[in-house]
Amino acid sequence: MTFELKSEQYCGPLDKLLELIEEKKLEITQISLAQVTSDFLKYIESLSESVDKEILADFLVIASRLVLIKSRALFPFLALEEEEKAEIADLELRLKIHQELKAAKENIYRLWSEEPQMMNREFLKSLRTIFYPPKKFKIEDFPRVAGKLTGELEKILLPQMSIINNIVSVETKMREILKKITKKAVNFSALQIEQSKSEIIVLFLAILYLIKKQIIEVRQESHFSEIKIAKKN
Amino acid sequence: MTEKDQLSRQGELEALFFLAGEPISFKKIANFFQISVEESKKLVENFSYSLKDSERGLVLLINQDEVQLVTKPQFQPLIQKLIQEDFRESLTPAALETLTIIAYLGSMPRSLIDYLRGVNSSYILRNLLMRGLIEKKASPSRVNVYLYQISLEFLKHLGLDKIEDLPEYGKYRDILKKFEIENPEIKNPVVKNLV
Repeated sequence: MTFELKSEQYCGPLDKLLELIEEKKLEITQISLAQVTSDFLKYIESLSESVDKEILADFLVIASRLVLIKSRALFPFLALEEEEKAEIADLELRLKIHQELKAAKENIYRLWSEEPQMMNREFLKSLRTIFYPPKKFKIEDFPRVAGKLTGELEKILLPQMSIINNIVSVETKMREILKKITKKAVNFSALQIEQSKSEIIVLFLAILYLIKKQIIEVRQESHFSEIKIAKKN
Repeated sequence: MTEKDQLSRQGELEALFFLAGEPISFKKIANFFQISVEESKKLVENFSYSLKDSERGLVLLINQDEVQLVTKPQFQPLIQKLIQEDFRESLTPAALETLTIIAYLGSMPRSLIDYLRGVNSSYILRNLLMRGLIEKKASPSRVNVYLYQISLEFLKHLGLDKIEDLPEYGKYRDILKKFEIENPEIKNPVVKNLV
């Protein structure tokens, strides 16, 4: 139940994105989307630890599109696949629809009354209360319907089992790398601990980041050969 | 039906609505009077028209294929004196957004609602279903797909006779179509599949 309350209060990624664009008084274009990308990413970072992972996931999907758009803006010669172009156009479209719907939301909000404005008479109010089963009703229907009802209640009441995968973060990997490397070059494969695919990906991302930060130097003699990593002077 | 039949039937219809209280479908009305659904719609329309006078205190709410007899919104303060209705319903941002989409854009599947909101809507939809503000029905064209639409309860909260009375209804109703036409390169299957 707490998720419901939280999710109802947080604005979704499209709301946030629209907010950022309108704050800067911009139109919805690829250029403006590129401009608000870092603000959007900052917002995600600022989201508290208690934010439900599902909401976070929704934000990350949009963030990845924005990063693609920003990359394109920075490197106009970057060739995009058809799918990527469609994804970008799609985001623009959804944002535009979102913007249009804002005024519609206002309409409903204005008209909404916390108590119904129109009342109806209670069903068969003046008749006395009797048990009146439907025509085709058989006694066997009782347990069947009771079972159905229990099934529905189970969906709401039973606790969900969470499957937690051990995810290695890029930050953790970066710290590990910094501990192991010296002025002398270390092999990429030597930095792997688990030999899992996801670890390789995270390791690679960590190295790219460290290169960007100018903390390390890398060298590769030929295609697909060992990558040598050393601390930068 | 002759004019005389029509008028006496209207009286019967009024009595039927009064006693039922709950919404009745056109099909049920047709069955009750042993007439066609088309004729029942005409009958309801005539009765609805006769209620429009300011001296009448009731109005007919129509949503898709259901009709309900209710009090006119302007008499609400009077009725409050009679009924101690303590049940208040507030609107959270998520509820407002979801209701706006369903109300203006018509009945649609969850996938399209998720797409337009940019977030997973299962919780808010279940919440709104429990509160009776929306209804779900099986899609006539696709198996295992449910379509969500607003309910009569929702209309009562807004004080509207029918959903078409929403301000700027026409403008928003076709907004998705408009966007699709203006952006033919969008091959999004979710939008393409809208109802």
